[in-house]
Amino acid sequence: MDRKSTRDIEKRDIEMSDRLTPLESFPPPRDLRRPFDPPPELLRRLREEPVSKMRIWDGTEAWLITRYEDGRAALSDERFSADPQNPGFPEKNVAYASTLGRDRTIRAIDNPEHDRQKRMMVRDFTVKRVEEIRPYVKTLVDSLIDNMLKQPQPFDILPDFATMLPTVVICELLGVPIEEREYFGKRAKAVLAAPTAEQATQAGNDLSEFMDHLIELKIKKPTNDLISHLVHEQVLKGQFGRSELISLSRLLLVAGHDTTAGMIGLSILVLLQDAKAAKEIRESNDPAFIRNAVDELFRYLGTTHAGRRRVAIADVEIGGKLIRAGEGIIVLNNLMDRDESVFPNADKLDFHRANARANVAFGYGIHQCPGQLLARMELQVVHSTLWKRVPTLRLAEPIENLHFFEGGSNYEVEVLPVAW
Amino acid sequence: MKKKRLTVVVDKNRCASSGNCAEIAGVVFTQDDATGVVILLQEHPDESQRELVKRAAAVCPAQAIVVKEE
Repeated sequence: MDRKSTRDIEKRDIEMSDRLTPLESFPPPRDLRRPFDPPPELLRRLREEPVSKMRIWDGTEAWLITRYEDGRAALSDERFSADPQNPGFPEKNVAYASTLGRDRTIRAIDNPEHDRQKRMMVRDFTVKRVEEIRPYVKTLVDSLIDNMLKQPQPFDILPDFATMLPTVVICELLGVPIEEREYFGKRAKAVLAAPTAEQATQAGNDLSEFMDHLIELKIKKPTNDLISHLVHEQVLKGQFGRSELISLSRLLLVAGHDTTAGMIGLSILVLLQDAKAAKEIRESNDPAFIRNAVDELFRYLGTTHAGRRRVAIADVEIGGKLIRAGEGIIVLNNLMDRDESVFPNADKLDFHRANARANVAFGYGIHQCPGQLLARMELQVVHSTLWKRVPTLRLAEPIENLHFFEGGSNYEVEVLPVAW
Repeated sequence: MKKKRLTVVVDKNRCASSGNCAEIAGVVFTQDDATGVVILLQEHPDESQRELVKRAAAVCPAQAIVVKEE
């Protein structure tokens, strides 16, 4: 049989199997009684069909990778590209496809250019710098709690605590005026999850203009922040383009506050529902325990439920399945972190878990989130402070009344009313 | 039985500046202040570092750390 007719038969077979069992859409529905777990269908696939396909928002198919070792293998294999310009790339949604997915920033490029850009911008995200910032974050958390305790109850802990903290921190690091937080906060949400390309593009353009204006200010009057450093050490010396810096700073501003805000909110909620775990955190004065508890919260919640997106640029076998060049993959870090072969009793939150630090909530491979040390430190300060300072903190509404959102990168709670 | 001596090797070209190793085993690894790239402080760490060094190698996202026991 010649090549063409083999292909035709394969194609017909695929079409027939499509008609018989249409591919389910990603993400499948959740079990509303278990709001902290991945959707039941994905947990089933982790056990029974660990590498299998679903249909995504634009009608195309993508492979889901759910097991820990398969996911780590895929994310460290250069035959999978993070560059959305490659045909077949399974973008997260229409907003990403029109904004961040078009940038040439570290999240969207492969090596060697990735490492060059990463090494240029990582100076404020090193272990040493994050530890230098820790006392400042502690002061900030205390002042946000002081403010919260003066407010009427019930109090939505998201805007003025969970979101405010990472927003102030990333503004300080980048050199963005915090007074503009409403302006860029709204646009950041749209860039991540607007329902139409037009809305996302408009928000993205607004943010680029905002950053361009800021860069102009830093050229004239440098301050001690990342954008000033990059302007004076890279852009003005011709080593990095101004438009590239606009994209990079836009990405850091968007990713730097929104994801952390979502994780602070959801981790507070899970502890409001788990009195024993909250008590353990409240009564601990051991920084090593708090670190492990926060790592376990990241493992258990791993709020980036849209997964890590790649496209094969050569044929690759993963978990016994052949993934062909041009096919997209979604590496589901939140499912990998529920893999029983790595995390026994994975569906249980356990602050004494010995390998909680091995979670992949921040991804794996060269694209692992550069802000992970910073985000984890912020979560450590939040949880080592909040439960001691407000020991009576409680959810002010039944959890059934809460709304969750997962249209962008994150799975998060929309409003979180608390009382004390 | 005498425990085998640890030898740590890092590959600076592979390193993705994640900082995981420096956070987990700060006695053995640190980072270049400007680029975040790994700097090996101890090629033959003592017994007290064994578990930490292995953990650091296991979570390194760029697989840039090799721990030999010989």
